Amino acid sequence: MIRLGVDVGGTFTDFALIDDTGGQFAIHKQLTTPNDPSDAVLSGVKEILRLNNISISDVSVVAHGTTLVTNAVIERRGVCTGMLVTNGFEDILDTGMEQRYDLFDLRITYPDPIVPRTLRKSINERIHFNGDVETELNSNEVIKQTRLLIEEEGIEALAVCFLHSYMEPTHEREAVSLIEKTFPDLYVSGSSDVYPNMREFERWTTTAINAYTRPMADKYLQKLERELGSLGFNGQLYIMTSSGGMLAPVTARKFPVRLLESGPAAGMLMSASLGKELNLPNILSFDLGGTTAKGALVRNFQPLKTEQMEVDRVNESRKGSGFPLRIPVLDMIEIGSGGGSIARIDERGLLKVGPQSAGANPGPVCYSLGGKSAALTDANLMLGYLDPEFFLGGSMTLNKEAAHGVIRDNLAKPLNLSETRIAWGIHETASEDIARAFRIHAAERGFDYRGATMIAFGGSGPVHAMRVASKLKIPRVIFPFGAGVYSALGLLASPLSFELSRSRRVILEDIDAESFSSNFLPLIAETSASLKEAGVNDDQISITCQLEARYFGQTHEIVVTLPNNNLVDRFADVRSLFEKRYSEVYSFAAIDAPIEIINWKVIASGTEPIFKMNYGFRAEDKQKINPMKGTREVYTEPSGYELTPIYDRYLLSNGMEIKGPAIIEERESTCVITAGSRAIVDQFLNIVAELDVV
Amino acid sequence: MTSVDSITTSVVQHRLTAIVAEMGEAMLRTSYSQILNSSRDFSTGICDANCRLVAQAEHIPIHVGALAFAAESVDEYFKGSVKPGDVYLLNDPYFGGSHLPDVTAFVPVFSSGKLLFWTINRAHHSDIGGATYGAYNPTATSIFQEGIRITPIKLYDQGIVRQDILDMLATNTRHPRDFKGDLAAQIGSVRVGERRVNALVEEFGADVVLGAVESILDSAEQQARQVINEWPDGVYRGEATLDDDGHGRVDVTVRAEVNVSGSDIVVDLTSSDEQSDGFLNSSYANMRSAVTMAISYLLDPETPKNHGSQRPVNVLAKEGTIVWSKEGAPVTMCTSHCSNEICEAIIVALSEACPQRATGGWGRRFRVAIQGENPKTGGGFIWHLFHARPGAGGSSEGDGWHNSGEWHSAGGLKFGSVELAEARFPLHFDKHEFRRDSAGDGQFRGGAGVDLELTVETEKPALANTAGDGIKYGSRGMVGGEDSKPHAYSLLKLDGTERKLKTKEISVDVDPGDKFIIRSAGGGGWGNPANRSSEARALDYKNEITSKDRA
Repeated sequence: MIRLGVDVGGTFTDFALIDDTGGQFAIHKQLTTPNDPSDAVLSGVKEILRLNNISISDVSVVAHGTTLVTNAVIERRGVCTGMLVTNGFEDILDTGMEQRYDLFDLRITYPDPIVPRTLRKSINERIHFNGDVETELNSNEVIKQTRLLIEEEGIEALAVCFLHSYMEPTHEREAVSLIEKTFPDLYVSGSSDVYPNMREFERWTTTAINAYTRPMADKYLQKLERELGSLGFNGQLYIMTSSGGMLAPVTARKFPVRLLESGPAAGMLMSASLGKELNLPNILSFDLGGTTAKGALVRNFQPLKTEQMEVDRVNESRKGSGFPLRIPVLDMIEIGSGGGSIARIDERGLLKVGPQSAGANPGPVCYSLGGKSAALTDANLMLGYLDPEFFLGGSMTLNKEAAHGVIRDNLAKPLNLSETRIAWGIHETASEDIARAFRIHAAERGFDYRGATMIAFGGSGPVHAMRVASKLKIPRVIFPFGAGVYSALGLLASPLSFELSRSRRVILEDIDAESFSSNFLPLIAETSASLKEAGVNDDQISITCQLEARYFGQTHEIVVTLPNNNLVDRFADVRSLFEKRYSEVYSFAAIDAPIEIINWKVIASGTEPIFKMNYGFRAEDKQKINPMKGTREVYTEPSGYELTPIYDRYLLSNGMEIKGPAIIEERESTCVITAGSRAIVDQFLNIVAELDVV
Repeated sequence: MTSVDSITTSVVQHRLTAIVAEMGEAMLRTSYSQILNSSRDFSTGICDANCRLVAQAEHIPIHVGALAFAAESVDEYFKGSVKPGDVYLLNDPYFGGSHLPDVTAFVPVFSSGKLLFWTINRAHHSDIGGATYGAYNPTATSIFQEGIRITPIKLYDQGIVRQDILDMLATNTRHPRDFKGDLAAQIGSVRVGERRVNALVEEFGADVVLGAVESILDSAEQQARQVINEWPDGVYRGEATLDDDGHGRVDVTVRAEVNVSGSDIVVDLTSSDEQSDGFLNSSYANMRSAVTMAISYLLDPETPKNHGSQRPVNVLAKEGTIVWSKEGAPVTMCTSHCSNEICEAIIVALSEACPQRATGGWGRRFRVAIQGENPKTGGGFIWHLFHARPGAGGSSEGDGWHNSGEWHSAGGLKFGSVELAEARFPLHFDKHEFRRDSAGDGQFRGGAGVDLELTVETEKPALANTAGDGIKYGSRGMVGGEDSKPHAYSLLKLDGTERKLKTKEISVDVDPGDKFIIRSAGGGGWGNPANRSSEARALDYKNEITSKDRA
């Protein structure tokens, strides 16, 4: 059977197709249709099938990743959304944002709240921290306030957010079902369903965004299912989540907030999958595109996950400036650089790159689309890393003279330095910033990257990867095959999975084995149910149980994964499992203190898809053609411009060795192999570059 | 000195910034006390061999610029005997420290046998001995009632810990295990810094790094001077007044006379009031960082907070005044008060020279700590009020932030979850809402304070301490803006009687079911209220920030 991955990105919608044997493999790209992304999805599906002579009835799975939800939040294209909250706490959505991300800048701003203060109404009800009902729910008030919000404010969606509902959801659920009955056209989300965890600000914010994006996600996914069906598709449609698992559309339509950043997540997942294939346990996944860059870490074959993310950052994506959400998500590094990052002289007369970006339009000066400021891509072009005639496989010509001119006039002259020095400075500053982002992110997570491997993709990732790796003293960089549609490939590498976590604070020493396992059982039932909805059989579901725990008194939890699901047996080992994990994370000996369990988490997964990398390349044909297509002047530090060989990626074959300095060009990107290193092409046509790090 | 081009300087600067940030992350992850791992009351920095601050990661503004004084103190004390592998420690406010709970750790970084840098970590410990828990003792009349004094000591001698000294220090605190855990986190943090600085020096060579440091400091100075140059020359005066000192004196005043001449500033605090009997006094180093904090608010936010950007500033002060007390006086409150008043007096003075950069006053700190037995755990508990923070001042850029804190924290402290606090402590939050009409009016109003009602759910009587100021004076209006309402805290007893809380009390009886009524101050307004737009007023009314529709 055939599986098809479809990733909708900002500029392109990417398609990747494989069959279960790995014998058939194809990719396709077409422009995204922003007004209705399903247009490009459907026409692209038809096109890739037509080009490869495949009938849609042979397609068993369409795996879909989309930026729809992210864009809806950033561009404020959700619906008018109201909120019901516990009386006395109408200001929580504003209060929570009051930790300022820059202490000295008066001009900092935050995104406008998704639900403005006037659309938040209070309800008389209260649950005690222990789950007891303290004040009964006032049902009349629920109806009255909702009606007011509909009739006077015109809301189309509603978030119901009560204190301690993660502990006792009865009030929230009563209110939700009452509203759904009385106002059937309203989309309602309850906070204990969206994210049943402690900490009201984050739970309520997450719920507000879920409510805000639900009508649009619901309509989009329904339409997609319908249209695919009318093409003759009778397999399963799966939707990628931020955590790298797949959901059935019915679940995705209920919890659209889980689809945030699903495209980048798929790319990161692909890196982890490649790591498994190549037996590389520790990976820095590095994706540098035109406007943004993302990174992620893979430890012991597992991509690092978190439950925290920010969306809709302002002030040049400053950390802390967005909405803090709580959803399961791959733990991505925000890097404030991209090919469009603008270089300027700051007030102290120093060269600075970013965080302002020329984006894709007007883009760098060399795009000739009206850009006026020197950008990173301009510098990379000047240094010879990019071929002006072979950008995006030659579909776009870059203006090298213009790049040269703006670097000379705007930067080199005022700083009284050579143009080459400036171009190298821009390249080097960006590489240093990227290395810094990795360094801090790794430090925050106790990740030792010495000895790890970097996997680089995205348009500019392969240009900077080796320079960044050498700064981090990482010995190996891989330029994967298929980097141009890496996220679409990643969609095919991930299993169906759904995860839920619930807060229940207990001291380990206070509970017994039975109450320990009873905290997991409802979560196991709920997560399994959502997989069954997607057509997974009971015997194909595997369950992973995790605890988020800490020493009593601390505020940062660590995740402890239970080795198997015999919960009653495992209970006796929890302390030693925790202590072992603690010393792994912090290199600190165990502390003589009680262990406090905060969150209980269950991940239900279907079987891992068969994902073979032998895409049927016929290496023997290629060996007849010389892959070196010429030479050009390329800058190398410290020796300067040198005549450097240029290779065609598509003509490289298994076992070939290339010594740096060298340039390897493919349609969507260019790999810069630095001097003193050597790159080998492996059997899957990945380029594996070894650095000389001491 | 090796001359270094701007590209290399930029790379070295980015690296140093990354190093202090990484030192901070290491601290955050491994520290044990909530004040460190949640409230981030610590800072990390790097000084050069001349004790000039080169880079700092600060989470709270009052820590800015304070580390250099501590480094000088260690350097002076141990001159000539500093060896690789040593770790130094101090907390004494009369030896370069700020107040006793802030313990500072130092590691010297050597290259080819030469001392090049110090990596430094300062952290606020949850207890440091003394007469009351947590060091805030409004009744103290001498520093010896506030905790153990650590003059500069060598804790590690060439990599070997001096266990006897460590045990002695820990024994002098109420929770030796927490103290040791947090101190271990600090030492881990400075050691990470040492390794990273070593790698930097290896990569570029000592001469290039030192050359880059000169350029970094010079360019920061240049940037600061550019801003100051825009201010008209002249002598500007400002003052700020504390309600009382808790020992019978009221209206204790800090006076600043600021002389701007070209791109130089002289801040003269010598006419401030005499020192107090109580803990509002400032140590010398803390006074200097309060000045640095004030100037940092007025400079461009992108100016690095290092030695260079402070070169244009000279400070005059007199020992024996509230801003610089004589050795032996209590000082624990000083990182809040009188730091805030030093800062405010300077900003009031300079608001005439640079009204666009001066914000309205931020609220004052008024802390409550409740101590008792927690029925949820059966053990003791101590809870510090970090909710219901006062409002921020308005500014030329817009209205002040609600619920954002004081001058010295400026929104750097995280708002704690109500659900988390209720689950952990025997407390019930009845409401936490913006306090209507609390903000100072102005063209741009201050942020709102908070209206918090909190019921105590202990089974046995508990005790409360308070420490702070600002029930008489609200947050300062600036450039024609109005002052905010002051704080108003009280304790509503079960029998219906209400007892007003003062800002410097110890051992207030709290019975089960008693309710704290906390109404915190808003922020000061900025600019003439007549210039406030009617749209802004209508929105404030709609959002329940004001109770009257004044549009």
